[in-house]
Amino acid sequence: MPQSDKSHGTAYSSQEGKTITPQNRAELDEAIRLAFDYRGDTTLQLKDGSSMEGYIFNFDSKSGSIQLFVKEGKDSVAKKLTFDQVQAVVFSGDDKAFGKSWDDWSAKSARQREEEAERARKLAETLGHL
Amino acid sequence: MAVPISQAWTVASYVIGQKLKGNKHYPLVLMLEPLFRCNLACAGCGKIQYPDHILNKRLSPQECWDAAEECGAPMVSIPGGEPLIHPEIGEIVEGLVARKKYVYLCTNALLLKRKLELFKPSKYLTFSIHMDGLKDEHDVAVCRDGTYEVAVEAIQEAVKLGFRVTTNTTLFDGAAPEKVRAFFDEMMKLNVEGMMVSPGYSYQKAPDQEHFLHRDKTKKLFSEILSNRKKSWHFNLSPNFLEFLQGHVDYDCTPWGNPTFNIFGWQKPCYLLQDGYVPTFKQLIDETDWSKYGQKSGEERCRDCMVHCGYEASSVDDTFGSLSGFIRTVKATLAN
Repeated sequence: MPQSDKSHGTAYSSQEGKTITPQNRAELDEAIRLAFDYRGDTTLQLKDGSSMEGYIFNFDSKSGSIQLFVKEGKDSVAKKLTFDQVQAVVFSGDDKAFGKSWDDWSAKSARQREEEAERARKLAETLGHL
Repeated sequence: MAVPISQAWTVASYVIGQKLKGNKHYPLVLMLEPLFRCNLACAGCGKIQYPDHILNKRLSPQECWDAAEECGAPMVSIPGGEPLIHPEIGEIVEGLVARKKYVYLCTNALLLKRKLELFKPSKYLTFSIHMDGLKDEHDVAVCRDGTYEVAVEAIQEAVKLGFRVTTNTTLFDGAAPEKVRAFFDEMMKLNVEGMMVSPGYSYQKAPDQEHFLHRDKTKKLFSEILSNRKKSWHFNLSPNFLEFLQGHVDYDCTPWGNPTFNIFGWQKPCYLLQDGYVPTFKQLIDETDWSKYGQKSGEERCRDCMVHCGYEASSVDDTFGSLSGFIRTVKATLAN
């Protein structure tokens, strides 16, 4: 499996916990693009006062459309929104990429790596995947 | 030859058929990702970095078969995540084999011994086992001790039961050529049909001078590994791709050659980059601006990429695209 990040010196700063309230279309475009790149759930606060939290997997700046998977019970359902509906973008979910690079792994002590590997193994075992 | 004659003939006649139709954007291998959940957590793997509710999603067998039919590629690679976790993986593969697709089921083999009973040996089915080196290298690469030994046992069992088995190896900067050569020796001793090898994809968001060395470093590494090749080594790769890796021939990427379909849809533009998704294969081909990708496009993310998912298709296209390409292939085959 090709791995995306067996490299050195990749600078990665996470959006986790941040909120962007765009003031114009260019800022909105950028906020949605960041939300698309984000490897976690984001909450879109909408102009009608509601909000929707999910994983944004697709967007089209030209048509102004956003697609996300939203948790519903045990499942996750595809929903569509438009750029025009969005008031703010909150990076509410855990960033699943943060701290997971090859360089991050290499920088850990042997003990830290063992502990992390054991956590991953136990999770796979609990899920019945080993 | 590492692959059955029937597969080589199927691919050859398919590619020639596409050329005769004047179709430039034809798919060669469908990259079918039925899930992203994995039972390993290899550091740096972008394929598993999703929230749990995404990792819990699966493509249905029908969605998999529909994608294969819509795309029309003669070969289907099933990566992930770990495909053997999918509860209907046996059914998915059975349906693809029934459709006479040459299936490469990519797996880390941790579940393979247990799940072999779900499959029947067939010329259409190959288990492609993720092996990044001998024990020390492999276990470090996948961030879990003991993985190499489990994979070797699974390979031995699968070969014994008559399944087609290849290994699939990704090499990064720092790989030691002599260790890789020793690894090839060991894999062939396991009686695998062939081996696949590719440089890893590594994209840095901050460009720096090192970028200019990456392609050269890759070519140097593969020259040291693949020159003076042993006759016992069989590669499940186009001879021209192996020449490309060593810098003996230059190609541009063929991103449409290995289209990717997963729970989000058809991935633009390729297996490694995620620039959005479209609902149909036709939209993928028609609506992607292909001129923006590939090494010659100037796209920064493509500059150093030499991965097989983009360049194997270029190599195969060269083989059947011209007499000189065919002669190049014959020469490369005979010389090694």
